[in-house]
Amino acid sequence: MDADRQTVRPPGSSIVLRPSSIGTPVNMQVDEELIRAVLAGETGRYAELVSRYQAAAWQLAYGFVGNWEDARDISQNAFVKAYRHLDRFRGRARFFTWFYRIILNECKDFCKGRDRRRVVQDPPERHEQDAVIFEVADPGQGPREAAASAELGTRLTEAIRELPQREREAFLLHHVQGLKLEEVAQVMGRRTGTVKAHIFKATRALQRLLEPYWQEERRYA
Amino acid sequence: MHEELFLARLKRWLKKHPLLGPSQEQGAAFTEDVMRRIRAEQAPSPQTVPIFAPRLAWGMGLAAACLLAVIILKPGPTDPLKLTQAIEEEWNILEAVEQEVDLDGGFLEDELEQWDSLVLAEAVEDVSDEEEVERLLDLLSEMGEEPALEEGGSELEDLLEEFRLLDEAEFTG
Repeated sequence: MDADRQTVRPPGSSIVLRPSSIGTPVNMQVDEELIRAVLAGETGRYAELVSRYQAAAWQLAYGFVGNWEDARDISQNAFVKAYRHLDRFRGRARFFTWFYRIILNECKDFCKGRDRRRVVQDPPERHEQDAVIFEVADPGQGPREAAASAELGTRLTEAIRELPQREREAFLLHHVQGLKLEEVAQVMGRRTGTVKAHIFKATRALQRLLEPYWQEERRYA
Repeated sequence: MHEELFLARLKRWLKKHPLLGPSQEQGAAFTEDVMRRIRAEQAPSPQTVPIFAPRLAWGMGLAAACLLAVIILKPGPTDPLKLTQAIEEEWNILEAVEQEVDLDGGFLEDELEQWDSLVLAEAVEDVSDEEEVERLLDLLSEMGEEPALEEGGSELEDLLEEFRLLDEAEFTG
């Protein structure tokens, strides 16, 4: 995803900084300064790190679990965990790649637990299945275009959920979160070539699943 | 549709329709929640907050030190005080049986142990003359010896004299 896309428009909200634009050299330097300050005892400055990455963290978790509240809890846990282990962050990688890895692990743990709970007792909750993870509303769209866009958003959400875990991770991090292939490889702990293969397979799967709806949306676009 | 064309359209669509994100208000509350949790982790838990007043804490420390001192200084089996008491007791026993203690520089405890067994072996049984006579008569009877009793003197004295003569004759013969 292009680095110039710096904002998202959550429902009923004002502009929020786009997290994928944070991984620039200047911002990396800011991250390092903040981490040094926190480790030196200025705990309050961790709030600045949280503010910088909370949108990215929440979005990434939401892309995985498809539930707004769960995504918030997961990303908050990830921030607390990152704080606990901040002294282990050696600065060899960017802070956000290290932090994204923590979020992904939290997401995986959550999904495992949820799957177990479902097997034992609960059927999937309907609202989770229907949740669209993309902002589909657009004031400039007519009603037909908006409906087609919403439909495509729903199908894309479902298609992403059906992807195997690694393909989903790679696709979300690269095409949705805007990380470079090398950064995705760092987050996932895989080789860049492996990440490319995951993204390629994910794209083909999405194409197969979405093409009929895509044609429909294109008709109204 | 060609893969590259599909990907280009997908990316364009994603650019127009990004992932849902939190509002500024939600973001601020989020940061606040995280920081509250972090501060809670840093603050000592209620169980570890010092609940004792300083004086009580000092008192408990002193008690612990006393206990430690008692444990360290508790008399062992070979401590000098106990050994002295043991010697004194043994000395009293020996005096009671009219034995002289000749300590020739050996280890005191060993000496005392030896004296113990010696005293027990040499202790004089306190029996009356009548009992001793009865025992000797029983013994003579078992051996088939009948003492020849002479006239005069007390019966008891005569018997004892007879036995003494018998013993001497037996040992020298």
